[in-house]
Amino acid sequence: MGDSDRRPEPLKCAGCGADLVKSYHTRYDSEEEEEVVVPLAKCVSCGKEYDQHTGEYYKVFADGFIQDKDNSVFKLGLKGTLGGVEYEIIGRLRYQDEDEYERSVWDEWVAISSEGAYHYFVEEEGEVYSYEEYVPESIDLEASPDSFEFEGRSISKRDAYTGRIVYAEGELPWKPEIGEPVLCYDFKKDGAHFTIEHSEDEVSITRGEKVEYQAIIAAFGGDSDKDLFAKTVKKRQSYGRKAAVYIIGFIAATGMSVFSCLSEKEVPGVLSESKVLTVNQYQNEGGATSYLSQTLYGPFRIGEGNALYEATVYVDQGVEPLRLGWESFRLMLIKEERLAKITGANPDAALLKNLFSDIDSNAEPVESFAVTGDFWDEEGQDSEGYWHESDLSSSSSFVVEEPGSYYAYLEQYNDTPRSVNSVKFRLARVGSYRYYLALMGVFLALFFYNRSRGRSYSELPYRASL
Amino acid sequence: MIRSLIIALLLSGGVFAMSTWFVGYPRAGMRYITAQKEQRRSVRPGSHYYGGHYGARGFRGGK
Repeated sequence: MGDSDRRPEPLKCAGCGADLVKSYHTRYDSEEEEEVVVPLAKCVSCGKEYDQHTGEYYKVFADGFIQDKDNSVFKLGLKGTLGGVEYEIIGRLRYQDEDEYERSVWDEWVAISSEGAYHYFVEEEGEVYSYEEYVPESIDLEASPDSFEFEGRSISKRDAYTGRIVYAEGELPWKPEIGEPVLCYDFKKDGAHFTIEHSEDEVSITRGEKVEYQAIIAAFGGDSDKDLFAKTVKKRQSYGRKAAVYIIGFIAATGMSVFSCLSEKEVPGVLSESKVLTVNQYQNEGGATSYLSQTLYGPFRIGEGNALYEATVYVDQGVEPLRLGWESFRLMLIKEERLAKITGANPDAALLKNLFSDIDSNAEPVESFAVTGDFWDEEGQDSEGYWHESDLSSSSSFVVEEPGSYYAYLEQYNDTPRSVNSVKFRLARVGSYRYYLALMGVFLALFFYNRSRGRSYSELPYRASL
Repeated sequence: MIRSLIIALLLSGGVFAMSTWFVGYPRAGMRYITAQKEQRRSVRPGSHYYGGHYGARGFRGGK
């Protein structure tokens, strides 16, 4: 075959003989659900268009398919010994998948063995397969419209794809043309890979297997390739170990988070005793009306100091549902001894009501802590139809500095009169897990980063699957 | 790998300490009382300190 580096010939329109140029047009892709830009070869004179199913297309766009053609461990004239057999690389064909607008190429490196037989190294996306010619015991490519018979097995034709030759160099067993289509069938049988290439006038059958890149480097790589490959492997292993450390960290953080969540312990008896101070007292502030209810719960005992507690205030729908309205609350935690300093022991409801009605203006706060919140229930119509939403619970976490006997003062503001008992609360000793959740996210991000680097890192100037 | 181990241990130790000492959580007790006292000093006697409790966050929560 002699000639190397077959370059595209001058491109002429089959219709009028004028020049062909690169052209692009947009069309709607129903799968991608967006406009896509489609490359086409186009005649400057008659405007005839040639898409990727024509040979002209590949001649016009050939340069786009071969920009990285030298990025490979294989080179013409290279000799190497693989599996005890010496090979010499004598040629190369590059194919482009006809169904893809984007670049989707693979190289078929043609070698000749020391025994004088043709051998093929197929290189695609960093993986290398070693193929040799194969004569099947039986084959019938026309067994049926949908399948063919190969050594007693039916192989579907639906998985066939067309490769278009976009580059050829070296000594090849036949004379390829740029844009020439080859119908390919890839399948596995008895653990081996088979490829049937069906061109216009020839059927080629090869059998092969995947070859570890390390073996390819050892056989065909130079000293620089071997050195860079060893560095790449070492670095990838290092990233792999880092990823292992971070995934262990993630698991530990998850464990601590779950443990913290499960360590909740409710403070008993917070609702056991209560004094209702006010029930639905009408309020008007600046034209806004509301109904105020006040209740003092306790005393109850908080057993642990310098510990995290969570107060959850909620609407008890079983007592009185909150329907299309709002409700606001304030919950105060008050130490028994601080209240007793002001009111004395066993204060009556009237005294407590006076105290709490003006509690914000006391220069010396009575409460040890206060939380506020709102409940609401709404419905409406929008473009999607009817909707109904509500928020009937509110939680706050805080650290109780001192253990002891406490009261809880609950203040409710409603847009309509409501049962005092319709809002309840619970207090529980809880674990802190918010920082463990953040740590889980950090460890997971570090894990994915290092795992990705461990799979993609390469010092080689070409893609190699390790 | 040593560096990643150190990073993991520092992160875990930091988070464990923050969780153990409840860093960033509000505190119920003298710290709250002292802060409230400071705030109330600047409030004119007789004024309504909280300015009403309902609707503080706005009640519109639905779509």
